[in-house]
Order: sequence, then structure tokens, then C-alpha cells
Amino acid sequence: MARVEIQGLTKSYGQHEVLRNMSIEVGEGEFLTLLGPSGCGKTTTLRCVAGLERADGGEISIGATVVASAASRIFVPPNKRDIGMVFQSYALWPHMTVAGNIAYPLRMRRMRSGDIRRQVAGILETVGMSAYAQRHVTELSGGQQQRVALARAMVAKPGLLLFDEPLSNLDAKLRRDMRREIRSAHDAAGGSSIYVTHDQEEAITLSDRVVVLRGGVVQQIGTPKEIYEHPATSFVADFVGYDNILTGTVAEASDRGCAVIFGDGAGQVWAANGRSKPVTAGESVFIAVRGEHLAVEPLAAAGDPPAGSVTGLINGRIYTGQHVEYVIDAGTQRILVRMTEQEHATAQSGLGVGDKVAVRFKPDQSVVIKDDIASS
Amino acid sequence: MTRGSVARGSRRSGLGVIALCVVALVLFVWPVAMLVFGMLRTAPPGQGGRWSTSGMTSSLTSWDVWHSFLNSLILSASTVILSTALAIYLAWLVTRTRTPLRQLVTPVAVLVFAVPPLFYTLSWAMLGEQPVGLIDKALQGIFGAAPVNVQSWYGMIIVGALGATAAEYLLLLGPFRALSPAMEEASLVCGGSRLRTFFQIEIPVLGPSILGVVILGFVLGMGLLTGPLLLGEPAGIYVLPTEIYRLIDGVTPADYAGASTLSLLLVLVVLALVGIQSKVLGRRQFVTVTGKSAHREPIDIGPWKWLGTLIVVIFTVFALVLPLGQFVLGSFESYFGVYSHFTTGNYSTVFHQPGTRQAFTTTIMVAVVSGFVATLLAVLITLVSQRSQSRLRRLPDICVWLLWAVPGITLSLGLIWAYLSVPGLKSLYGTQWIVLLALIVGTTPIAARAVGGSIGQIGRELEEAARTSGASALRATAGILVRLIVPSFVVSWLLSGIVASGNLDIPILLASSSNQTVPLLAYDLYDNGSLSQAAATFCVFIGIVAALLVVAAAARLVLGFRRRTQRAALAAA
Repeated sequence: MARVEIQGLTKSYGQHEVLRNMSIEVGEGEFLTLLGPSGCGKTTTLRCVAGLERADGGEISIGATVVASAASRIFVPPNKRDIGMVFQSYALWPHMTVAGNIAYPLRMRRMRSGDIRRQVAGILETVGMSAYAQRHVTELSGGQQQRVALARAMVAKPGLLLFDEPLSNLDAKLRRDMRREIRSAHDAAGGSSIYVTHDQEEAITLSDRVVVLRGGVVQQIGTPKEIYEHPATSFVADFVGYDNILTGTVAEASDRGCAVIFGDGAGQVWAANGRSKPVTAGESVFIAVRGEHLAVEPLAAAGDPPAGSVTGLINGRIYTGQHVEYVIDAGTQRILVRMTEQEHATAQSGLGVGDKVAVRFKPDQSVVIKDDIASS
Repeated sequence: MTRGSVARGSRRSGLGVIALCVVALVLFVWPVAMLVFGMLRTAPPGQGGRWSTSGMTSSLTSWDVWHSFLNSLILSASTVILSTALAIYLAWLVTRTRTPLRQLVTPVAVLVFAVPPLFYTLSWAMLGEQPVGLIDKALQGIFGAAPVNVQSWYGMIIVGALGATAAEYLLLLGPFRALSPAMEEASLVCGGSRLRTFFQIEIPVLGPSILGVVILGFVLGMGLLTGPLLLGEPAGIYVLPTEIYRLIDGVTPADYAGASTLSLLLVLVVLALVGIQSKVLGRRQFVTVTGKSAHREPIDIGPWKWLGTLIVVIFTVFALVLPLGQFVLGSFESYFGVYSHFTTGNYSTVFHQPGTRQAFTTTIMVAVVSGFVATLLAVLITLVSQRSQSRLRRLPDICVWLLWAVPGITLSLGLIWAYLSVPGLKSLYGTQWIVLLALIVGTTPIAARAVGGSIGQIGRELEEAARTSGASALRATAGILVRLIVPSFVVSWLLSGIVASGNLDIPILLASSSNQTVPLLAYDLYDNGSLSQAAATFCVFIGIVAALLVVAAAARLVLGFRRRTQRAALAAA
């Protein structure tokens, strides 16, 4: 079990700054995910924790030990850090059997061969690969290789498990199954885990806390629920799947929320859900809202929008199987509304392309965002 | 297209495959088969004689033969052990560490590889020439008397190992680069130290590649003629290839049956080695290449890197600087070993003696033509083996592969038997045409290796896309396939031409004094004691090759520049 503390980490490749003063803490037994698009620095951070890369500045400690510190010239090599890691490519050694791969960390820790055999058998049981112990790893399918890689990372019971996009090479169904297995492996091991992914669904279902990164800077740290419901920046909102990130001007603000006017006088909505800094009247802000949290109603050609909604014209309709999506032009902005088959069936009357409609916002599901992070 | 024309088309291509099979069998298999014929005849090639096993039995019961066989094994084994260890170390140093001067290794290896083995050995023979070679002089200065003799077991092994290191290093560079860094990182994360990771993960994962290189090195070592001829024979050390040469050239009457027996012995040993390789490797073709080009940080190996630098410097000096320096220096000496009265006289001799000029024209002709024809054959054979539907499609390819198991001197003996036994072809003997033909046969395997990979990379879909865009079969082949093959064709032509021009093993048995090639001329000059002239000849030769390489590099640069500007123009448009 190990706390991990990352303090002011910086790293550049030539002119390109990958990490800018990154500070993250991982609690004991916590499952923390680094989420972000490619090039955001999540893998570099993980590799610095593993000791596979040296940071230019900052400090990393695992448990009570400082494993890397640029200032005091400390660098503990990866083989002395007591960690386990699952690689994106699995990195199983092709010249060894499944059992040989899994036994390797134990052999490195100079365990007696009888104990090694027992532990390998135990972990193979756990990941459901007992029947494959003597197979060569090249004969395994992707999912099986993934299980062996997981077993190898866990077998020596390291205090910290590291995962570098381990599921990105698997198909969707297998990915869901493996997600469960990884989480239960973490819970059974009792140690801390750091998990890197660019898949928001994976981050949200797996983690205790999520760190969203962009351009080497932390955008937001929070529980999956916080990240999902209260994105702190427009980037986070976009990344965790908010369909609409609209711009507007604050008309009035109170401590319960604020009223936002859309450009071109398309309407004024009330947004109560915001965790970023307090806003004041006259400021430009973003309103982030998911397509399924909006409602559409037909509007007479000359009618004004009801309170809390904006007017727009239907630009198109897309059928996606489970949902029907409407694309609505409201002034210069485009709004996506998503409704279920059922909702659509009841509301269908008068929703044709070119029709004038009112899009109704729900205050507690409309997020006010004021970006104040340099890189946004 | 009607059904009839489809059938006609496939029948025509089927005939083409059969024709190619016949050509391949005649060119590549017949000479080897004729060694069996030669083993059982009492007279030299083309002179009748009768069937007899006496030649075979007398050579197989001779102590000299088995002694030379043993010597061959010792030479190959020690060369391979030394060179593989050094090649692995250098490849690791270059691909994984930040050792200063590591950038030197690849260019040096390429240059050593490009210098024909004859010239390489020749310069070492000169370097160690007692008491006037450069090394000898230096050692005399230090020790008073030179304790080292290059014409010895040590000399043969070290000179062989230096050349082999370059080749093996170049072959290992690809696998070392392709090795996924995650393999190594996984071991480090699991608690393995750098050293353990190197021996328990990197070396075993690369095992198949390394074993392949070892077997290839051993095979080439078994067939090596020049080193033993120049450095071993003077010390009374015979290996199989020099013993074969001695039986033909050094005894009267020439013992062709014995030489053929030894040749077959050599071929069988090599085939057995190749068999062992495929048996040991089996399906263990470790795929370690990942599509993702991961950023890998080279390791800082601390103070050890200075040891690495030292080894790189020693390798550079011994593999390249000393041999080349000796040649250049030697070519200006009025008499080899006299370090005063430098002269350009050797060069004017080279340029003015009709024999020398003729040797250069012959060499250039055979290099250009044999390089071209060998590449053409290789392309056809590769295309057929990869694209034809015929059941015979793999046959020509297998025939070419067989030749890897046939060392040069053996091949030229087989060719003598093959062509002199056919009445019409007999008149070819002693002309440059038989040398040309033999060099085509000898370099086709190299050309096949050079073009094989790049043809494999040209996806069928590229042509199919042309067909579906409305191009005829001919047009799709000419406009897409041929166009895409051109770059690797030119590279292979250049490579095979250079290899052919430096070959000694084939002309040494097939050429006559009126159509010598440069390597044969240089060898004769050396043999007659005209070392300085031999050096001058080599310098001119290497100058021509270097000029060719510079022109090729410049052409590539210009073409690349034109393509880039075209692309930029397209992008801007």
C-alpha cells in the first residue's frame, strides 16, 4: 500500500513542453485515473512514476521514499521502486511461457522456487488462466494476453499498480469485461493504482478519482461524479461528452446560479449548476449541457420563447438507433438535442426540418463555466 | 472479358512460370548437381574420361582433407563467436545507449561491408607483412621485434571476424531497433536490473535473429577463400576452400574429382547447418515489432560508456582506418615497405598497362551487366513466388535459396562442370562470358534479398485500385508495380554490381589471363610481390566504387528534393 505524491513535475522534449508543473496526490488504496487526449502528458507522468523516464524538475515519492527529485539529484531506478505495470502492448516476453512471464517478478525478488510456483498458480487461478500456464504467450488471444499482463503486474503484490492504456487494443465487449477485472484486481490487491486512458467512460467507471489533463496541465481533479456532472472547464466538459458548449453573457448572478443571455437575442436561460469561480453580470461564460437534458417544443412562427428557453430553427434530424437527435440553429450557435425513441414519439408533432422551436434548458443540468486556465 | 480470354491469360502465365522454373533449375541447380557428376569422373571437365569412384574415395580417405575440414570448422566457429559477441555489443551500444561516438559504427560497418573481402584481406596481409607493414613497423618500434604474425591462425581469425562483425552488425541493427522498448521496461518494472534485463530479456527475445546471424556467419565462414588463401596458406594452414583450390591449381595433374568431392562435402555441411537452424527455431519467430513508434530514451550507462567509446574507436581503427591507410600509403611507395621516395608511378602503371586497363573495363562490364541481370531475375522470381497462382511458384525461389549453401569456389567448380560438359558451351570457357554468367548466378541470391522485402511491401490493392480505376492489366503493372519497384531495383543493381566486381572466388577458376577482373589482377600482383601496384589498383577500384556511391547518393538527394518540392506545390495548390 503506498501513497504517491507528485510535486511540481516538469518535462520537455526539446522545445516541446510535455509536463508543466504537474502536482497530483494518490491516496492509499486509491484508484486514480489520468484522463486526457493524446499528447496531454498522461503517459509521460505515469512513466516518470515508474522510473522509465526522468523528469526535468519536480519530485515524486512513493510511500515514504522519494524516488525521484531533480533538485536533490535522487533517482531510484524502476527495478527498485516495488511497482507493477501493465503496458499498452502487454509487453509479454515471447521466449517465456505464461507461467514464466508471471514468475519473473518473483524471481527478481529472489523468492524460493516452491513459493514462486504456489504464487503463480494462485494468481493464474485469480485471472482464470490456469489452463494456459505452460502455453507460449504468442499462442494467446488479446484478452488472454491482457490477463497474463495483469497477473504479472500483480503477482509480487507491489504497493503501486500502473496501467498504461491497457484496454485500448481490445474490442468493445472485451474491454467492458476487462474493466471489471481490473477494478476487482485493484480492490483485492489493496494497493494504490494509477491508470492512464483517453476513454472517459473507462475513467468514470473504474476510478475513485479522475485527473483530467491537457497540454501538460491539470484541468480538474475530482470523483467521477464531480467530473461528469460539474466539469470545471469547457475542455473537460467537451472531453467528458457534453454535446453542447455554448457561449453567452451573464445577465444577472446570484449565489444560486445565474441568468445567461445568448447572443443574437435567441433567448435567456437560467443555469444553476456551476463549480467554477463566481461570475458577475456582463461576463462571457460557457454553458455546457448534454443533449439529453434539453427539451424541444414547437413554437408558433411569431411567438416568443417561454422563459428559460431559446428559439431556433430545426436544421436536421439524425436517427441513431436508441435515440433521435435534432440539430437546431439558435442564432449563430448550434444546439444538439437528444431524445429517446419514446420521448420522440410523444413530442413528434410539428418537429420538421425548418420549423421554429423552443429549446428548454433545465437549470440544475446546465453548467456554467468560466475558463481561467491558461492553456484553455 | 470473356471466359475464353481468362483461360488463355492464365495458361500464358502458367507457361511463364514453367519457363522461369527451367531457367532457375539450369542456372542454380544444375551446376550443383554437376558436382556429383564431377566427383565420379576420372578426367577434368570436358575431356571425356570414364566413371570411377577412385577420386572420391582417395580424397575421402586422405588425412589432408579431413585436416582442412577440421580447420574450416575451427576457423568458422572462432570467427563467428568473436564477431557475434562484438556485433551484439555494438548494436546494443548504438540502439540503446548514449555512448559518445556511437554514430561512427554504422558508416564504418557499411564501408567495411562494401570493401570486397579480397581487398580487405590483402590490406591486412600488407599491414602484417614482415618486416615492412605498418603494424609490424609499429610493433617493432615498441618491442624491438614484431611478436605478431598476421599470416597465422590469429591473423586469419581476427581479420575474418572484423569483416564478419560489420555484416552481422548491419543484420542485427534492424531487430535491435524493432525490439519493443516495452519488453525491456516491463522487466525493469518487475524488478530486474539492467544487466539481468539484457541477458534474460533482450538477448533471448532477439534469440531467433541472433541465431540466424550466427548460422549465416558460420556458413559464410565455411566458404571463405580469400583470408585462408592470403593469410593461412603461407603459414601452411589449409581449409576446405583453399584445399579445393589447391587440388585444381596447385597439383599436377589437377584433381577435379577430389575437388568436387570436397565441394559437395562443403555444401552438405552448410545444408546441415541451415537444417539445424530451421529445426531449432521451428515456429519461434518472435514478433517483437510493434506498430507504435514509441519514444525511447537511450540509457546513460554511466562511466561504462567510455569503455563503449574505446571499443568503437578500436573497431573503427582496426576495421577501417588501418586497412585503408595501408593501401593508400602502400600505393605511393616505389617499393613496398620503403618509407621514402614516394611516387605516383604505381598509378601511371595502372592506367597505362594494357592488361590493367583491360581488367578495369572487363570488371565494369561484368559488374554492370551481372548486377542488372541478377536483379531482373530476382524481381521475376520474387514476383512469381509472391503473386502467381501456380503450384510451381515457389520453385525458382527455392533454387535461389539453395545457392546460399554453395560457397563461391564451389559454385565456380560446378559451373565449369556444367558448361564444359555441353559441347556447344565449351567454347565459352576462358572467355569473359562464362565469368559474367557465373557472376550472375552468384549474385542473384544477394539481389533476391535486396528486392524481396520491398516487393513484399507493395500491396496487391495498389494494382487492384489501378484496375478498378479503369487501367488495363498491362498498364496497371507498368504504371504502378514497375514504378514502385524501380527504387529498390536500382539499389539492388548497385549492390549486386559492387559485390560482383569484388568477387575473387569465381574469376579465380573461370577467367584466363586475357580477361582478368580487377580482384584477380590484384591477387596476381600480390602473389608476384608487386604489393605497391596491387595497392594502387585497389585504390583506383575503390575510387570508382566511391564515385558511383556518391553519384547514387546525389541522385537520391536530387530526386528526393524534386519530389518534396512537387509535394509542397501540390499541398499549396
